[in-house]
Amino acid sequence: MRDLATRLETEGVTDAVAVAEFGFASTFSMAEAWLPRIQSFQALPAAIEPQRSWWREYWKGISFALPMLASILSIMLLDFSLWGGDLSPEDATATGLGIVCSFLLGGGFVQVVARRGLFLAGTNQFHRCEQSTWCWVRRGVAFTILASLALVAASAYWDWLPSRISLTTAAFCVALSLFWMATGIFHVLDRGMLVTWVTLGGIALVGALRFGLHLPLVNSQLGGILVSACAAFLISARLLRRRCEKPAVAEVPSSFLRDVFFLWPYFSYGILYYLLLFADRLVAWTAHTHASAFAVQFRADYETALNLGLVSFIVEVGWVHCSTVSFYRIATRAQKNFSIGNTGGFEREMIRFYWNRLARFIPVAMAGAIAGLLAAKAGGFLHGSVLTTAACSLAGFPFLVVGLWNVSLLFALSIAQKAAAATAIACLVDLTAGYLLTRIGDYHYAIVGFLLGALVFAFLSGYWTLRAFRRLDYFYFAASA
Amino acid sequence: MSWLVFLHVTAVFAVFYILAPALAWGNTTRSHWTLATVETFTRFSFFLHFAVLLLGMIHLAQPGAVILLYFSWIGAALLRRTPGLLSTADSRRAFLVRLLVVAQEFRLRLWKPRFAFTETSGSWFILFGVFFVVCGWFPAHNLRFMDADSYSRATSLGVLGAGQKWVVDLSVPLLIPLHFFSAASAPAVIACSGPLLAAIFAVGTGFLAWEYTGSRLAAFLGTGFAMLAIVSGLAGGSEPGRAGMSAAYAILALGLAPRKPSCAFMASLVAISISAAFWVWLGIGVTCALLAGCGATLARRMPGALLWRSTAVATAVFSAVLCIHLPAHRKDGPLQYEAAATVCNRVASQFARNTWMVVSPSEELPFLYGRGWHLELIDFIASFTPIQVADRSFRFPYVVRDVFFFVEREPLLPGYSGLSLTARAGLDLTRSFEPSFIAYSTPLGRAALEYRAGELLAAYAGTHSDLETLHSDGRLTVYHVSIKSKP
Repeated sequence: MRDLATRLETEGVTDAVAVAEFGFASTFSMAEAWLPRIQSFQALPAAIEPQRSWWREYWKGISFALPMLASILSIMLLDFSLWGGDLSPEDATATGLGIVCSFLLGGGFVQVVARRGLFLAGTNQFHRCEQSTWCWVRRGVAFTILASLALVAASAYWDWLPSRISLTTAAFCVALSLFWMATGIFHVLDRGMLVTWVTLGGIALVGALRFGLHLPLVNSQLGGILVSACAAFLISARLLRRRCEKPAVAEVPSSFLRDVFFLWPYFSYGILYYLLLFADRLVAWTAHTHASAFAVQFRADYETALNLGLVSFIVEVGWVHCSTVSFYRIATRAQKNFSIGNTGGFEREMIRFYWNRLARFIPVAMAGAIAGLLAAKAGGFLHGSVLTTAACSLAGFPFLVVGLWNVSLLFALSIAQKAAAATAIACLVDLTAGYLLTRIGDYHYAIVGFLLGALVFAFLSGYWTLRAFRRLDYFYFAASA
Repeated sequence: MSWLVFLHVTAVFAVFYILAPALAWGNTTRSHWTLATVETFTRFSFFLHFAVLLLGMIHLAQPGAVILLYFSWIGAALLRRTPGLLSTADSRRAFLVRLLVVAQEFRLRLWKPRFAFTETSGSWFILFGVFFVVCGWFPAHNLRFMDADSYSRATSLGVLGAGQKWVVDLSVPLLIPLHFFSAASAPAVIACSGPLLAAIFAVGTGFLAWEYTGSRLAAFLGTGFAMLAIVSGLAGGSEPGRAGMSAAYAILALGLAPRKPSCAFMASLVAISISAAFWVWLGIGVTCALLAGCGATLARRMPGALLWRSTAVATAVFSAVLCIHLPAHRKDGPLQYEAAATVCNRVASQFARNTWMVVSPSEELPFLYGRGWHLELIDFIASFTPIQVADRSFRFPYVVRDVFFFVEREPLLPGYSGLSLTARAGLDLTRSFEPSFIAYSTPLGRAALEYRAGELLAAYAGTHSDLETLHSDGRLTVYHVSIKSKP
């Protein structure tokens, strides 16, 4: 009976509502009245959930990183890609900065589009899902364009980069932000594979423009990205529209301020996560530039070392999705195994599950990293300080993956503020350590900042996740409510 | 430099050194706004001065760290006013809701000034306007400095901002945020800092008079007298350098002493650390404040109608006397030709960063530090012989695209400016065995140096076609060699 009363209150049926709208003396008396009727309801047959094989889950998990993987493979095989490739130092700086800025400016909006879209689609509010998606995409595009213009103005004011390079950076930033937002909608639609096809189509277009029309690589890439983004938007629009034809439930109106109040942790996390991922690059690119041609200098050797870590990250990140799916499965099962008086047992089992997943992942990830490093060394790709950078990068990415898993659990338990806080503190550590070390020593030391940041991210998010796991029954209920 | 740069740096100083800290710190003690503003300025300066000094000693006074430092202070000042803001999740949420409500209710309104433009504010406005015109006249129309110390400070500021090995010069840490926020070159910041700190000194004198007499007229007169003392060169020069900067804080310390002793202590520490030679300035400031106090006491005996007229008359008199001291055209030099500084700036703005080099005496270094490379003229002539450079296959061994040679056809005499012929003859050259001193600072050394540089370039030009004249005015010639082009 108490359970029903709590559920009623959660749905907004307070004592006042019970009196005014339902004619009961209080929420408790309403629950008392309704309990026998509810108990007489026949339980619905359990929905048969499609069992997806682990590799399908894994593939879904890495789908968001597939453009990155396709790009790296394309550079290795074809010497060009949707971005990057055989570019002059000026163009490499412009492209590199454009990519980083696109993630930083668009990341928050992609996260909001995905969270809001998944929630609305999950509650069968398809029309609102479509509206919300386009609304946040529009806001994201406007913000990115304005912020890019502000960056160009700042660059001109502080004389960071020549105007041609800063304009190329801004163009890449806007084009790639559009691309991330468009591919973000595919995740809302659960069409991760489309991301890969759109990316491959874009790479093919770049090749055609470069070798067919003999356009400069940067221009070809900009054209390729914009066309891919437009194609992705068109496909998403069609798919979203098609979803709206499905029967929907009554939709709850929303306001911008309420959305901001609930979505700010996701938005902050979207920006901070990419800042954590790219802060070391920014620190390394701006270190010891007093003698170079630009205030921001692309470091190719640093990038090569990081790319090795990035490839390992893409391989490892699939584990996050698999583990989150396992969490839901195990939690549902464990919930049924324990009575309401034995919440401690439920929590202990879930904590055991958490440590089990970690114990399986870390050694495998570390072994993979060491193997990758040895292979790269044997192949002669890395040597000297680049090797150290690659080693630190390979050591850091598994912790980042662990942090991501913790964050997905925090999101699942509706504690997004803690996810944003862990990422913010990690960014602070990353930037501070990287800045101090690179300014006093060599620019390669920026990777130490990343390693420390990733450690802090994994540790803090893990700490908060475990703290939530110790009251999992409460958070699990609150999240489902 | 132009008036635009001068006004820009002044505006940045006003916003980032006075307005933003004052708004962030607030007036929690409900004291008079002048005291609150001076207190905040002093606290802010104290923090910035010593924090940047520490950063500079470990080569970290670079844009990222300094800007973080600046905003940390502003953030801490804001948090101090709302102590419970970050304490609990509920207070954070409440703050966010308040912020969202403010954002929702925000409407763009046309700005309407809340203060009335009275005779008093008009007088202050005119006084400061005239003072800035007079003090800013030389830096706004010239790039060069008139004293060697300013060159040294400009180089020091550039070195500190670039995170290089810095020989501690306590007159520059405070100017680092101004350098970064204004994006002005180090020499421009040093040039503008003179008038700005002179204005602070004058305001400090007015503040001193105000604090001890409580009379607005005394404050106004004190400021005016101090301005007159500065522009008339009573303190030993119309361009306040480190002594003027130090005196500005010393006079603020005196003004703050009765009601804010801790702030007075901070201001005095800043003053003493910058330079201990502020006593003349301080004496002048105190005298001006005393005179202003006496003037205000006398003025109190006047009828009310005459009282405001006395402010207007004082404004007119101060403005007229200030205008008399508008600097006339000064002779080029004494340490650098104006054209040399102008060409440096032109080259820095036209050529890509660090792809060019200037070969010249040391005075050009601050104008290109961080933007291009510099080679001492004495090192250049010691490296090559005319026969060597006359060889057709000869190339300058510099890893840059363009090299600029500054050759004085009428050599300057930096070490001898202001000395008579008899005094020059009496100088003991054996006091320094430094070859650069003999070469740059003695008439014969300088002339020989410039002649040899000209000789080398003439020999080079005979066999190479890539030497062109970038600037020539009879006293200075700037040659340009494009390293990439074929002879």
